[in-house]
Amino acid sequence: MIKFTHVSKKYDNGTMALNDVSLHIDKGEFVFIVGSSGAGKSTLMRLILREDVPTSGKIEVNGCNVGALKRREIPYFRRSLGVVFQDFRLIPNMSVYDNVAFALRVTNVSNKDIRRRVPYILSLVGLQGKARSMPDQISGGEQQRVALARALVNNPSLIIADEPTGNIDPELSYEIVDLLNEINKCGTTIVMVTHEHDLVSQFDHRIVQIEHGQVVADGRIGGHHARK
Amino acid sequence: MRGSSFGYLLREGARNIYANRLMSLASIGVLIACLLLVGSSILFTLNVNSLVGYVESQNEVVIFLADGAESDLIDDIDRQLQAIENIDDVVFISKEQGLEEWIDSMDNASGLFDGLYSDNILPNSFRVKIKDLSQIDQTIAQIDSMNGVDSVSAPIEVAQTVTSLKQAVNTGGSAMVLLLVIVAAVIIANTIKITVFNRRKEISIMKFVGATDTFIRLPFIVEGFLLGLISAMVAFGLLWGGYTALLSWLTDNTAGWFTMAVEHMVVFKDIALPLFGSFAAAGIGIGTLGSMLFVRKYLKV
Repeated sequence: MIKFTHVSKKYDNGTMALNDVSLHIDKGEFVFIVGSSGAGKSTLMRLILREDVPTSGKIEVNGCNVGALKRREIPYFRRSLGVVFQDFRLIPNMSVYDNVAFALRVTNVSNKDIRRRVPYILSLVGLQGKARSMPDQISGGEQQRVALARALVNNPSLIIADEPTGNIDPELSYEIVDLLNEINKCGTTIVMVTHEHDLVSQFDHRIVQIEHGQVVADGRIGGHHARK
Repeated sequence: MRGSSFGYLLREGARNIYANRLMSLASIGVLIACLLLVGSSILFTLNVNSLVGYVESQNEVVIFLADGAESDLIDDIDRQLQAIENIDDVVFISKEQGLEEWIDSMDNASGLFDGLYSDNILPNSFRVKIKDLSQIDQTIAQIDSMNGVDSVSAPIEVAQTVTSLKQAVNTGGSAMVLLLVIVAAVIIANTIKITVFNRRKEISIMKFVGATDTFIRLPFIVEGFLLGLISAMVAFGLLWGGYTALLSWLTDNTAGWFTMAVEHMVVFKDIALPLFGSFAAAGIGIGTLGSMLFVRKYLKV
């Protein structure tokens, strides 16, 4: 699903954000990526999303060589992924319904399919009653669920979540990850970046720890400490 | 792209104007102000030109013929004068007509000159009008060289003044319009930049959901187009109303020669169509092109 082969990323200011990272994530996996801030987690995400290209090495996502993508191919590549951000990134002047429908409109889905699919996805994340609300009228947790619905609506085989719980109350954080968990059970690969160790420890999933641009630990909670 | 998507993008562009109404209002305001400035300076230049043109058309050149010119020669000179490109309105004034006009102009004293009827000292003459005063020297030289022409009296100084005035107005007017266009372009470019900058987040979201560049750009272009069109229409309406009001005020409140000048001001209706055409073209062009140009910057995510 995702394959990093000796990937390094050096920024123009000389910062070595990733240093020879090799990582393999299989289809259907749920992986937490942890590490302190500045460790290189964000860079990892940016590379997967093709916001940036690696300085050296090769990245494959969904069997596609991301670094070699042409500019006009990028939008089509991104449609195969669902992305969730820490700051939700909802369009403020669009209703919940329109925010989710937007992801479908972008990909040329017919109005008929949009009308069928959006309510279904909204009910899946438990927001069927909020379709007409605007983003600023609902709570942070609800906004993140809208973002999740938007990521899901295209039926992607991979969901990337960048600190999805960073801006919401701890008690609601569990709900979000649980939702991701449910999605994962249906076969969708999930990669979630976080620095909340408490949250990670509540789920039995693979954990990849990154420090100073390198993978320093990789395994489940049980084997996590053993490998360190 | 399917039809429903295209329709959606058009609607989206129109909706964005309302959704970002404060910024839309600012853009429309700036665009209107610029169009008004440029429009007024165009109107001003046109009017000064028209007034100078009126003064120009009032010129008169008198050609005195040599004594004893036979009617054959007079006819010949008439034909030659008609043939000159730069001459309008050739009128022959015979000795007798000339004398009568002269004596008439003496009012009460006219009786003193009765004796002249028997011994007319005035020559035969032609009165002509010059079309283009800047060419007056050549035309006079041409007339002077004709056989049977004694002398030519022409308003050379007036011609020079009018010609240089016309030149000054044209250069000054064009320079002013050009300057205003440049200033307007800079202001408008900045306004559009701010508008797009305000929505860079929206653009980046679109990119992450997998929108193609065309898909992101189209609503902005529609928006720019509509804003330009609205501004052009409002600016045109304001200019029309303002100018018509000014004209009627001037007609009611002026006296003397100035009234005549007002009568020769440009009628708005005569220039309405080309003016609206250029307003619409400028507004729409700036709006559309501006959005295209500045959105591009934020597409590189």
